[in-house]
Amino acid sequence: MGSLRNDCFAIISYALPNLTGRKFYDSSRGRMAFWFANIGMIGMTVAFGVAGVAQVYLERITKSMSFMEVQMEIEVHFIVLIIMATLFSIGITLYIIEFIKHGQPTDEALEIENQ
Amino acid sequence: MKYKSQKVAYWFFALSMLLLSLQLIYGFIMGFAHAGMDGLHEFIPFNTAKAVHTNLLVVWLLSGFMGAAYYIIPEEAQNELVSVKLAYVQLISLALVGVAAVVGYHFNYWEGRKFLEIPRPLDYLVVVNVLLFMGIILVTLFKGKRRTTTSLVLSMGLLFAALLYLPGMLDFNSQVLDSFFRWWVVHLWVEGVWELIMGGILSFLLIKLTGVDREVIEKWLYVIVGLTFLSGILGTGHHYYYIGVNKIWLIVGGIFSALEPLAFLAMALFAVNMYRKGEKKHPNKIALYWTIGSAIVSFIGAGLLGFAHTLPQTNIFTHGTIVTAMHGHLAFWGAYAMIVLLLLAMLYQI
Repeated sequence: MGSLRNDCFAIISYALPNLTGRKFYDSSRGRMAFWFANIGMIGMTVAFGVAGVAQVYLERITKSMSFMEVQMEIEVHFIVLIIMATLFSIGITLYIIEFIKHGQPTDEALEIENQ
Repeated sequence: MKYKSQKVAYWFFALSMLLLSLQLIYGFIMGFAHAGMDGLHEFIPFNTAKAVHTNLLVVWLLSGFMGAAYYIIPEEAQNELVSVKLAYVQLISLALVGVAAVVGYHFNYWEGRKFLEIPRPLDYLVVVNVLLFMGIILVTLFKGKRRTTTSLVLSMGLLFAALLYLPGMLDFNSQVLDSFFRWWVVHLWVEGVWELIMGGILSFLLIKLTGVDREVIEKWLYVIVGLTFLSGILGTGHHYYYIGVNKIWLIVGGIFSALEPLAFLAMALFAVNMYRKGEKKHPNKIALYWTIGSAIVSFIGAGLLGFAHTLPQTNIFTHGTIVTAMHGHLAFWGAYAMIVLLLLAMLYQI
């Protein structure tokens, strides 16, 4: 029964967007949202990592600078961070556009699925 | 959607997306401040921006999890939610408490405790709100026609998350004791019970996406729950290295937090295996992207980077630096943000 119900779901979830004229599966905007957000976040992680390791060495291992001096020294890495965060935000914006475009769920969807 | 009352989930997700957008804005404010462009300092100093940024993260994820529960529990229990009206009341009160807290931070109305900055009076409102939420979910579950492992793990995660909020409300005169119990909330949420919520959502979706038998998927879920508790609970020790408690935590925390990647590794293997095993080719490719993406990124961000950062030998140098931010960003993105986005991608065909 479980797999039968799942098959029904697969068919319906495939058919529903077509029935309502909403062909959102595998849309290029959805895919771009995924890749922009992920590449952006991985880039941010690298920027944070470089800044973090530099901070650890300057401030805690060689102890050559004070906290605020170090923060000034690593400012440049945050430019990279902002660029990557922009990529990330483009991804999230695309995603939210998709979410809004889909609109609220309707009772129609319910009836079709229960058949 | 199989049940009418599942519609309420949509508004939790909408709130979630709104708060996520706000979180990004505060992230940019901090990014620019770090890069030396701190023009907003007069109005939004760095500490305010940081409190808002981290608190918004927690609230948008919780809102997403609550939406997930309102969607998944009726379908798994085969029962309409007991009260849709109360669910909307809960949604609105959650939003109001969140807004009040965030606005308060801008006027210095906060407790200076990292991640739990929300002032005490609002804490009590959060408790009432979560009690209402748990009431609706648990009554729906136990009046339902069936109780699946997936729904039990999900609601167990939510219930424990609610209970674990309480240690953060204890009042101490000592900074050490306060920190000690504050980590019960923060750590046991993210590295404990939230993983159960994540596992519950993931198995609900994988049953749909791959068509693999429920029995197989839920067996994995037990493994993940086991590994999470085994490593996560004593793994709290990695927050206790240098806060002024007994040195035994260096060893306990070091060993158990080194085991923590196992739960994420199991989760990643689980998702990838089920994807390979699935005979059904679900047309929602993007939901599959998010599933596999989340499994892999959470293993790298939470598992590997977490492991590297919490070894006592490195943590003595890296704690409280930007290295923490590095680990935190990729971990939260992979483990929790992408799970919520995956859920929406699946339910609303993004």
